Amino acid sequence: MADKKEVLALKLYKNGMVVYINENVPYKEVEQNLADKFEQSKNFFRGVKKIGFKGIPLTHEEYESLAEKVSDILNDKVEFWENPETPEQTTEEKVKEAINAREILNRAMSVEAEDEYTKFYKKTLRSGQLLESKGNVVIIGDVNPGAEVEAAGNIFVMGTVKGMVHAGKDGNREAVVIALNLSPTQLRIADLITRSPEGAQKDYLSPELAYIREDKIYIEEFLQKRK
Amino acid sequence: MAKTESQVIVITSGKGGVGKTTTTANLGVGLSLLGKKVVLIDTDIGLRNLDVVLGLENRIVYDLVDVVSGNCKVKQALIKDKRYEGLFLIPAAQTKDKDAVSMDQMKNLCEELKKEFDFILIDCPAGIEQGFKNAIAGADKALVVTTPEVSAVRDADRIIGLLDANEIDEHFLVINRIRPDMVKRGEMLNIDDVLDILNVELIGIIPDDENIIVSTNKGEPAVVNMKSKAGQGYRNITKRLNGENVPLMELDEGGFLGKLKGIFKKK
Repeated sequence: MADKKEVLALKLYKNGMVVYINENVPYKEVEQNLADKFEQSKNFFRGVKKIGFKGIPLTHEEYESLAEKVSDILNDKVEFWENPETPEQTTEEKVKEAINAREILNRAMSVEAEDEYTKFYKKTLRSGQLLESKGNVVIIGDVNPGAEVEAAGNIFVMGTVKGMVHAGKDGNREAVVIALNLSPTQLRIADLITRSPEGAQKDYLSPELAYIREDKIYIEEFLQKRK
Repeated sequence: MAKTESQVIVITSGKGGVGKTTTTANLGVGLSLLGKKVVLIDTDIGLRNLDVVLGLENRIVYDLVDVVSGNCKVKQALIKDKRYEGLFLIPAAQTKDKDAVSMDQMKNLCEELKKEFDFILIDCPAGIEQGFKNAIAGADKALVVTTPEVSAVRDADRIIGLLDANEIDEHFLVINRIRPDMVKRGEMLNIDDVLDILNVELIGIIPDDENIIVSTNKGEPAVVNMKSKAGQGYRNITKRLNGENVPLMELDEGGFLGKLKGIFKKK
């Protein structure tokens, strides 16, 4: 399986099925492969109304022929779906419009991919301790008041942050801070500084995410509240 | 001269936990309330507290080590206390150690601050090692804080000796946490006992006061609390530092005799 290249990948969406075709495979092979696949799992695909194709540019006739083949196998009329718009695309677009926590995180993580160094610290960081990293930091424990974390990348704390955390220390404004409980003495990302609001004590625990948008540090709940 | 000559005063004790930081914070606030321009320097690198006592912890960007090592300008490290006009703090670094600052650097810093400020109060760490040496390096005067306990007085004596050896001849004693009821019962050293041992000039006594703990936790020094006995003690010291002649007897009345009167009233 591993050494043999996949010819096809099938994906089922609400409005139909999309067949992703490996570009480097000749048409004949595609046709044969598709037939095999549908033959194997006829029952599973029964009910599919539309079929679309992605990957290699085929002639209209070739598309029609493929769709017809599928219809034959499934013993049901399957419509050819031109320019299938997959839900993946649409959500991606949506995400781009509305800044949401996941997107910011992805953004931060993709920056991180260039520099994959991550430091793990498995204790509580106490007053006077400084944890530095040229990449990311993951702390499994708390960051107490008087402790400092400085990372060129992102900072993740599986615990409570009450000390000072500085993500994107070398100026990376894409960096983020995530903590199970975020009430830092001071929080810095790149060249920006913010503080926890005076006297604001949350009476519940909720993971939070700090990031920069338009020259400001924003802090928002990382998980959507369940209704 | 527009402003009176600057005073660089180190607040020291030798022994830990006798109230150096509390005293520094209260005198700083007290002097600023007298209209003076005051800067407090926390030299307790690695165990800083003065920022917490003043409630300024979350405003620290640069610290003493940044200043002396040239990472930032002095102005950048000065944290302005928005509640008290003319009060500033240079906090200690928390993640470094005492060797991060040298005596010469402290001297230079104090000289520079003299141009701007009427009072430079230096909060000294406990002990007699590098931190102590740094703290006294730029000082002209010293306030030695002690409590009426044999161990604290012994350490104060040692400190006074070291101050003399370092040619800081102007030193004054603050006796902190006096409990008049215990003194009366003979269970605590009284002021004269302490002065007999140390033989230095007394600048003030601070009665033991629960308000101190409350105010320390809140970041609001007791000196602004008119009801606090300790606050009264600190106000008297600030006046004396400012050159006013507040007779010591009056202080005794406020602290010691005042409490005695209170005892008589109860009966």
